[in-house]
Amino acid sequence: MRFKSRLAVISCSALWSIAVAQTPAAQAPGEGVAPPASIALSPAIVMVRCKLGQSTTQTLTIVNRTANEVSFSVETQDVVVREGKRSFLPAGQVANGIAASAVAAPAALVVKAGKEGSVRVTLTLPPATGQRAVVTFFRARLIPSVSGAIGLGASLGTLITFNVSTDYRVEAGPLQASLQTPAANVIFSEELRNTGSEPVIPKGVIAILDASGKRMAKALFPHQRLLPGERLIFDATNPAQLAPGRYSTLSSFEFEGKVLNFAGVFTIPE
Amino acid sequence: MRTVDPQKTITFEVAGATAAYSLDAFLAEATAADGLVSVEGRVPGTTHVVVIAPSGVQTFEILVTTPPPRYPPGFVMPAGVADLAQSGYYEGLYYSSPEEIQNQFDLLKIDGDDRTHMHLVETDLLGPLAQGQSRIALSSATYEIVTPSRDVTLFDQYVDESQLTIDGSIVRGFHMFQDNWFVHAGYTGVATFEGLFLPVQPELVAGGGYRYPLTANSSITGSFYAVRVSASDQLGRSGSIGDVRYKYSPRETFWFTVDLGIGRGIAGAGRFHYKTARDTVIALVRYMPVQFASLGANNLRGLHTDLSWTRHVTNKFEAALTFYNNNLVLPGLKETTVSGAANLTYQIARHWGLTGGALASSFRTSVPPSPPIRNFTLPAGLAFQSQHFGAAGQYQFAATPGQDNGARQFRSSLRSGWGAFTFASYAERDANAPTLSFILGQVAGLQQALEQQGIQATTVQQVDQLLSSDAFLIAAGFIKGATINLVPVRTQAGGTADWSSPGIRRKHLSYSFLFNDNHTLQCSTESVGHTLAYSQGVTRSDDISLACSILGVKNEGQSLAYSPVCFVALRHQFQHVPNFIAPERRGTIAGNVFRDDQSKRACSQCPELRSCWTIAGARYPEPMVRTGSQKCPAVNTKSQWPTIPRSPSSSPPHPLWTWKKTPPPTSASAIRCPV
Repeated sequence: MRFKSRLAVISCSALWSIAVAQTPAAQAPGEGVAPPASIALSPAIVMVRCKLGQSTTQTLTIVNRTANEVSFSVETQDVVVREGKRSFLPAGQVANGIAASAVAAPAALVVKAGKEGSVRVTLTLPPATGQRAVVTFFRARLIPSVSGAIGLGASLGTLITFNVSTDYRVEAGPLQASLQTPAANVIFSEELRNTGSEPVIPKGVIAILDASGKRMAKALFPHQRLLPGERLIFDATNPAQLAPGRYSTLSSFEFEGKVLNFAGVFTIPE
Repeated sequence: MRTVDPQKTITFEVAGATAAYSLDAFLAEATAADGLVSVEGRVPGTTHVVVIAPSGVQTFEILVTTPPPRYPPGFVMPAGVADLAQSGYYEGLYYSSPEEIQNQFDLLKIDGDDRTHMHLVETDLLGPLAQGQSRIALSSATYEIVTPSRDVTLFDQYVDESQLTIDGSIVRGFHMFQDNWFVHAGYTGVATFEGLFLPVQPELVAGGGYRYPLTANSSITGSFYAVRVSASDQLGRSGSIGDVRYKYSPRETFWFTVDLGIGRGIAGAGRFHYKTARDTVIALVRYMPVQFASLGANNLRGLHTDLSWTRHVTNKFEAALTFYNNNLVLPGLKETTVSGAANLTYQIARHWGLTGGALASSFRTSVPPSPPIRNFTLPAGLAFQSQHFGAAGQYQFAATPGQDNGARQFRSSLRSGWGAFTFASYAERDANAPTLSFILGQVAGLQQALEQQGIQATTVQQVDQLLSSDAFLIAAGFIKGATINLVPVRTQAGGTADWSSPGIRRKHLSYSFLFNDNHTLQCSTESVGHTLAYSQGVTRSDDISLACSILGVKNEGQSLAYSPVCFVALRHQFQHVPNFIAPERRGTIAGNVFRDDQSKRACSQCPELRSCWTIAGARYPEPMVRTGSQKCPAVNTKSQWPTIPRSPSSSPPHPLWTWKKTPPPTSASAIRCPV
């Protein structure tokens, strides 16, 4: 009898321990819940309209939401486009680069946990440059809080673009349509190339028309930035399944007050 | 560009249109069918709509407009800076007695340091006219232009130069102040300008002077005026007046002036003003002989002194000492008044106060001869004051030589205020009180106005001041004479009740009454006055006012005779002043225009400044520009910019030029290119 009673007590204690272990204690909102650690840089993008030879000063702010203080070094690199693709080059490695003129004050800073710090970056466009973008990097190194810990590195950058003229030109390649399956709607792909000398952000829409010219569907191309010489694929997913047949498309891109229309055809097989 | 309001749809035809879509569906959406395109606005902004038609693809720019702001009920838009710079009103009034319509305009425009003010009051008399009276009168007219260096006024200006020259008269003519010089020339009158342009009894005054600063706090002013008055004027004397004034004014709370005048005699005057946290002293003395040249409108003859000294002895105890002396010489009246008083106030508790003091006065008239009135008064009272309620009671005893019984006065007052409602009343009973009686000419409305003033004068000093302030009416012949009598028993009561409502359409209603009963040895008179007034805002810019007064007078053996006076007024506020009334001051630009990339205010890259560029080669959209700092596009009408040696880094010519412009004409040689 005593054994049965003791067994019952042990069983109940074990069940209670398991239950407590499985169910986390409820916490009041905002109490005791640490926000996720993060480092944020703002603004992420700065678009400057100016003239060649003119200077601009931008204030960039870094926020440290980690538990440790973080040291940052500020570096500006040129964004160059080669064969349609972007790459970053340190200051001075490209002729008439903008990054070579960059002056950051301060050039390095330490931001304590939960605090923020700002850097004023002054950039001067060379009088005869084809460069239109730089990235100002905040290269971080987390200072180990205890001896023996490993410091981590992280870099965040602000893209700064410059528009100095009205030479906006965009060319489009042929429209590609993916195969429609019961599990996937058709995806339209169109390659755009910035053939002008200024950065643009085309906003695009594609309309799917039937044989009579009526609009059957409309899909949006996500906004993407095109630096001069840059090529990017703009994809738009048709929101609905299309019946088999032959369709025509009209894709329109709007940038800097201009509208470009490109026609295409595709077929949804039986 | 086609426009569409948010949440609205516009439709337009495109031949054969089969489909349409917007490039930004967040701002607007488009559909098309059977040649009709519909565009629905969603959010303010600009986008494009693509329309597909058999003839091809067409693109339309669409502007989704920004809707006008919607304000909650009762919202009052705060006045902006531009609104404050320009303001004005029109007020139209109709009076029933004397029957007339009055139109009043007032416009003010402030442009930086410049100010333009126009005020115009035109009166149309509707009732029967007196001989020589005009039916239309320009009762008031002022056009004033003020700049930092000059102040010019055409027509009416209130002039208060000196007690010996022009002392608070409205002069219609020309007035100018420039630097330390001043000029006044025009006509004035003892009454308002009841003729079309000039008063019925015009008095000419012309002259001016110069103020010479001696130190930072003192100055001496010399002025000379010529005065011409008609022979019928009973107070004025034609002639020339020379005046020298010394003024010492180390601060706003302490100043004094001394005047010495010559003009058919020698006159003198002085004023003293001193105010501190504990003491306030105001003194006035003036002597002007009877034959002294002066306007009849504003000058009294004889010796006049007035002194008051108020002292806060402690926070709870306040003492005020006053001395008043006046020798008044008027046609048919010559009197001397002397009074001295000490008024004491002591706060015994937070809401309770005691009042007391002593007053001695003497009133003697030699023309017409009458026995002097002397009395010595001892007042005592108790007052209670709180936020919503106040009451006071006073008893005073006056010993009057020659009278069997002393003068007694009982006075009580009551006030209350709760929210939008306020109420105040008083009642008073006097024995052997001095009263002022006028012998009036045939002037409509004057009797009522004077009787209302006369009722409120209860002491010897108040009676004398009322007589002095109305002296111009005697000079003009509107009042044939005045007598001062002691009334054995006088009973007065009066009160006012007000109610007003807040909000954009503010309403205000008030009622006031006045009762006066004089019992003399020979007869008794009784007068009762009721006034009801109402005003209300009709719109944000318009107000309407209505008022009606009834004054009843009952003489011995007669019944109460009522005479009503009513008026209706409409007032409209202006937000802008027409340009033809207060034109913007404009001038021309002349000078050289040149490149100044380095903002050096000089043409550093050009060996010969004059050959760089001139205004003749540039075209301005506005040949006349406003004064002040302006931006004006200077368009190069030549095929190219003038040949100037340029460094490779120099920026191309900018079409905007900025310059500071002083009042015209000016040189624009300091033109600089914007950075």
